[in-house]
Amino acid sequence: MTITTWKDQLQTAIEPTLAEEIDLFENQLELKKQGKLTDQVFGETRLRRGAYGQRYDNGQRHDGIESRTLPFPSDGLTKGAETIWDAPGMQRIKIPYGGLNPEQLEVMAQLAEEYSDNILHITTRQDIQLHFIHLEDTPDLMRRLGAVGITTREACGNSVRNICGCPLAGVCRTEAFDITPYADAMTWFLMGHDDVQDFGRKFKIAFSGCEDEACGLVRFHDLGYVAKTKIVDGEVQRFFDVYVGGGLGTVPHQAKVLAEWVPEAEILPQAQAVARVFARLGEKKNRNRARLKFLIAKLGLEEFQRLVEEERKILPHDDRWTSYLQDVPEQTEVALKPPTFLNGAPLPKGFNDWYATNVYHQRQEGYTTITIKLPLGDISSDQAYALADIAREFVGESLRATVEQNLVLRWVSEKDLPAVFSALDRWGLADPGAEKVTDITSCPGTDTCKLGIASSRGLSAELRDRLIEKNGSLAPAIQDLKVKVSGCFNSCGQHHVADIGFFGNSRRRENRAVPHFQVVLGGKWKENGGAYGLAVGAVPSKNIPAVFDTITETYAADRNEEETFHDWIGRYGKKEVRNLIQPFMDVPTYAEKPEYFSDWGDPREFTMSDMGIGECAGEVVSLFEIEVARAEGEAFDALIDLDEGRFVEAEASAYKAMVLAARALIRNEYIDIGDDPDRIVSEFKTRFYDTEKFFDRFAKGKFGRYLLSRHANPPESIDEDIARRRIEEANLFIEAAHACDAKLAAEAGSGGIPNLLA
Amino acid sequence: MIPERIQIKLFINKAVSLADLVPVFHGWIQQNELDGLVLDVADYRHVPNGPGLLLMGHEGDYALDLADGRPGVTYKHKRDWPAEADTFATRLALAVNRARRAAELLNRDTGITVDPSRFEIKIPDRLNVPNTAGSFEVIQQELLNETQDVVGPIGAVLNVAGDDPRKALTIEVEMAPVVAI
Repeated sequence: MTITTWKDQLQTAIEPTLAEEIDLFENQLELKKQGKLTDQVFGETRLRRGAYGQRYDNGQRHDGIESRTLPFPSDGLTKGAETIWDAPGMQRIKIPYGGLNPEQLEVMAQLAEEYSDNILHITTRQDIQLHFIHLEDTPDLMRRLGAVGITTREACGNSVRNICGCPLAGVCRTEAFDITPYADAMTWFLMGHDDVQDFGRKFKIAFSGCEDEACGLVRFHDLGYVAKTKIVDGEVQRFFDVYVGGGLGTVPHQAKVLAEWVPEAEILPQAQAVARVFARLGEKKNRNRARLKFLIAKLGLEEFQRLVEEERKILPHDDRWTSYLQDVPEQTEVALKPPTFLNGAPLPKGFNDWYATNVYHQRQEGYTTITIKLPLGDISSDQAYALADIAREFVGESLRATVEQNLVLRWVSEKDLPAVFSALDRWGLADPGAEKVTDITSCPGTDTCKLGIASSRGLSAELRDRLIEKNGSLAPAIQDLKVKVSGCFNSCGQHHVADIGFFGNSRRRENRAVPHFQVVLGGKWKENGGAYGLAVGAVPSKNIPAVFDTITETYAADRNEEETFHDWIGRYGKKEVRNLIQPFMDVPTYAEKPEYFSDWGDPREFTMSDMGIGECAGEVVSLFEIEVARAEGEAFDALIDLDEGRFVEAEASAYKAMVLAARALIRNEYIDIGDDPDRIVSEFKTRFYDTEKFFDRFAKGKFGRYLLSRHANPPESIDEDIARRRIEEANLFIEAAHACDAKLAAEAGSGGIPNLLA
Repeated sequence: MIPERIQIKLFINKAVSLADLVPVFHGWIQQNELDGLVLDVADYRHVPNGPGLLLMGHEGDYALDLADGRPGVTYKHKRDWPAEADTFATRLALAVNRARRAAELLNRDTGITVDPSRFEIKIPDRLNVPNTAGSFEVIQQELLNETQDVVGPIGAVLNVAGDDPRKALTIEVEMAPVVAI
């Protein structure tokens, strides 16, 4: 019989349950086509299989001249709300703790070649994404992945996402023990578990082998585990410190300690108990308040701990909680080759630079882990085939994706390093500078993401090219910096934990949108993402390279010996840093420099959400721009207060900044609003919140509620956490006010909002 | 043996600045210059010998591709074939014509020309056309017997993907030298 489908060809190669799930998903596609499933139900179904939307999937795209309808042949068929069936999407592929083998890498390369654009994209949570995928190709794509042991189940949607783990687990010199088997057990225990099917929002888990390094970045996860050991009755026993309620997103939250010294046998039931409490009490209607961090803030940590303990007591026993423990070995991987050392043989050109930055000496003598630095997290199908061959020849099975969007090869015998370098170099995979300043992390941004505001990848590529050009002359302190870029406030590029982070936003000038990036300074990558940076000002996108040079050169010149960037920012002060960037914050006129009105790597005139812009009305400054500048000044004062430990004043200034931004919008409609906060908030609610004019397309009323909630419920006591959060909220509220002003202007045509200063 | 996906590559004999092509590609979308629904530009200039600069479309993707260190204009048809494209030859003809149209536009807007003496056919469809000696044999015969009126007189058909089963079947077609009469 001739085999004509992947389903037939792979039916014995896929684990039966997974095969059934994929068949069911394919049936659901058919039912949706027949109109028997709603957009809402099918949308969540598709997301839970990792099939995500992509930019322009609403069928609208601004081509630089005008917004045009993309004439997909879908004939009205949709795959979710405002999501056209035939529009390409993104397929996220879960790679638990980033671990993959050469065969899996090869299959993903084939899928990229057949269904996507020949590129595998590594994400900041160790997934691999394929872009420009047609929904109807996804069942076969999933089958081909399933045949090599990969599932996309619960890669998106309100579910337990990919579980992250340190890519050095098992070979790290500072870890307590290898977290790999625990991350693996957690992955398969929770995947599809009944207790994780009713979340109001996504749920992210990470494992770290040690406290001090970046590792799994547990401090910004919903649930995080840090390995530790102690001697009990004369034996070394394994434990975890368990963290809950962390998250980046628009307003970042540091995770809190749920419990210390949790025995290894307890982590699965405890996670199940956490999941049950989250499913039962977590917010379901308002997705902007539905992450675990909000539930913990609402209940208080102690009450949450109590509820989890109570839930744990009544859980029905499950053998899987501990059955995997008998198979946990001291070391989870076996080296392909015996340990050796570099023996003085001639080294290939470029080897030394690469060796200095991309090679990590494992705790197992004679072995190294090497990092393959992937620009913007991208590797082509051809490179992936080559890398699979190199892995097979030198290390066997052991590849891992990292949260810095790279791949690592573990268990490379030292003597093989020159040969591995040469093999990688042949395929353009031996770039030096891994995890250094040229190794910039970036989310997809406006390239493919529906939520992207500015081009994070365009900016990252530009910064990277400039830095590589002058890398030899960069001060060592600059070379060590972490740079991370997000296309919007949602933090997928993890800008909060970078030394220098950027997130995309937009400003209006002469009734045109201008791409900007907010500059976020002083985050801490180490200590599992130990501190979050703070925004110091929004700069036109085209000025970011100059701002970057100014900040880094000042740091290199002013820092004390061994002073980190995080510490230097603390000492130098946000006010002084603001003075550094201030000269770059202005936007020239369109006539002077039209390039400021386009983004990096994209010559189209910049727009927001594909909404058309009005004709240029000449050189005018709107009332809103004047008024909102006061709000921005107040928000910056809050930052200074925070910096200097005046938390009460910082919180008050942040609140005032929101009131002023609301006033700026109101005064376009009601010039005599006055200064009374009660009246301003009331008018804001009536005119902009209740009418949904202030609503973000995706975040809806989230940013408006920051003001309404703070005004209605002033905090009884204020600590650093609350002040910091209020400042983040104020900055986002101001960004939303800018977006609202731009949206209303665009809707009304040129200068739609009365321009009282024109 | 009818592939669902066919890619044609017309080689360029000199180095190309992809940065200069970004606005050109956006211009082609604005002016609706190409056949098929073209959606957006995807920029992979940073990937060595990678897919280069692409114009992602619904039925097919155009690119200035850098794979194997050999720059070329590519067109990959991937779905929604017209009803009349129901044989290898008719599908090949559609893909070749679209690649040639992109090459004409490139020449018009940048002066870049393609090498008329050879082109590449890649078939990224491992289900219907796996990279085997048998597939190569079938496609070779199809090329020689059914397609020369579309692609021109063929001199030789070479299997360039070798026998690596992971790879897509890839064939280089050398055109027959033009004989002056």
